[in-house]
Amino acid sequence: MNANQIKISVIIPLLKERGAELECLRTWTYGQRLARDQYQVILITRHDNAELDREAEALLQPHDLWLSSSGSVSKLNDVGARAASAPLLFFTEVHCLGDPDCLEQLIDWAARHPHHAGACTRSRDRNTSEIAKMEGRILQEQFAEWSRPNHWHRVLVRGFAIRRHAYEATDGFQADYPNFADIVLAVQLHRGGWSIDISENAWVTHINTVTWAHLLEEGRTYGASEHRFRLRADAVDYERYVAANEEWCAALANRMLTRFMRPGLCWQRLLGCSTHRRSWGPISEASSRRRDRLGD
Amino acid sequence: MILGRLISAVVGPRWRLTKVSLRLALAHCRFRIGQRFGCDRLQAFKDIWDLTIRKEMVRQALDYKQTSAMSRLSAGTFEADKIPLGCWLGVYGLESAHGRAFRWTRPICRWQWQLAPGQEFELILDTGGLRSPPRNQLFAAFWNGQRVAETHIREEGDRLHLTVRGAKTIRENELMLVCMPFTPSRHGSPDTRILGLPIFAVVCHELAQRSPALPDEREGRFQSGTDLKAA
Repeated sequence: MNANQIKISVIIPLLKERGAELECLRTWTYGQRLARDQYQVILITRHDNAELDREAEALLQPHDLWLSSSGSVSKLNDVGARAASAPLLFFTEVHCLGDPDCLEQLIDWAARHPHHAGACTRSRDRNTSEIAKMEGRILQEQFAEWSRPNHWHRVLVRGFAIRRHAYEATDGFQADYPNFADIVLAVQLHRGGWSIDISENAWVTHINTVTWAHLLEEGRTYGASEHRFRLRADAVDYERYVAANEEWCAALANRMLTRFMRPGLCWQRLLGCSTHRRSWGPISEASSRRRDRLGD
Repeated sequence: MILGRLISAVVGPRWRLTKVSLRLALAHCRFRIGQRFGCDRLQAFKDIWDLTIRKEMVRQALDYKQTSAMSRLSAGTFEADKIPLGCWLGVYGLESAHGRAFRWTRPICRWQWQLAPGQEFELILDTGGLRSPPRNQLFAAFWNGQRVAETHIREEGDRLHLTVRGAKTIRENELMLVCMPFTPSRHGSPDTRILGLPIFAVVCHELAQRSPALPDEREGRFQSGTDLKAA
């Protein structure tokens, strides 16, 4: 098969999560109206689940890719993107079902909007629990905000297409920031002047989180990723988009101060007393001079 | 708020984690009993998500160990919106005044520096005139754990100049400022934060060299510290 024929690469990290993985994968491997030779499916596995791996690999065709990697979901997404051969990359999740015309609509969108670097799809929810319903409602509210003209946050990993040259112009999905990598990529694209659209006619169905345990685990991963990212030297450039939360700033400052000012010494230093004097009087001229000698 | 600060002073920074954990537990309760007592369950759900992230961030921050990868400032001019949060601790979010970005520090804040060992440096903190005169707001400054002598701190307009010497190792330099706390809420403002100094820019240069221009000077708006204050 001629690689130039492939118009879009569908990138899916293979993780055992919500129980409908194969059903979702089939909507991409067999369920699309777009001719099968015009798109490739790239599955990236961490080999977490041998049975799922075996069944998923069987769904692929010769021009599809089966890749192995380790690390976070962001890393898997990035590995897939770097290996893709199509000019348009489409990221989705293993718990997302694609509408039959989803890829067709994305190809159509890419042809009609050459000035946009990428687009997110629309999504509906499949909710099997109360938690899932809540998650769906929150995303709907957020999506209304993100849908405002020229909003920067349109990188939604449930369905996000981007031209390959735009993806390669950024750091892509960064492995160190799982769950926060989409925000980092969205900001990078916006700062780089790449415009991201919403492809109104391309739809996916997202199976929302079913259990508290999974939801809270996602939250914790997000928090840890954001913490790591905020300590990065250029994180300050991102603060205009997503403000750092005050509690974290205060905790970090507290942590550093307690490390810096050893217990028992800190108050004396703060009040200007020498370490061998017991009185906590105000800073006097004499003690100041003595400290000067010691300090310099 | 006062009770929280008192507990924080006694218990230490771990209180911050406990506080977020308590709020998270309350949000869980609101979600679970919401249907019976008419609480907004969606809001409770949002709070659970938000507080889970915050709790993890606070936990990570408290367990954070400084590594060599942590960024430090070197000699040069840095505007507030270009100073990484990792090397500037104890500050609030980015704000702007007079068209320039700045951050309020907390009453105690700390910078990390990477300077040539043994050399004398001048650190200039541009406070932008939001809390003047800045020298009166500074209780003490510490360089590498030692208090900076009064004679080594001077004020020029809205800028504080501190003279310091690089530590023996290139990466060991730390500046800590202890400021007089300012609570806007006590002056009729809805802002309940406890503030230190507003920092618009930081400059560091070797004393043998000429001081590099501050951002405003580069733009030709001000010629000296005195002019800055007058403006």
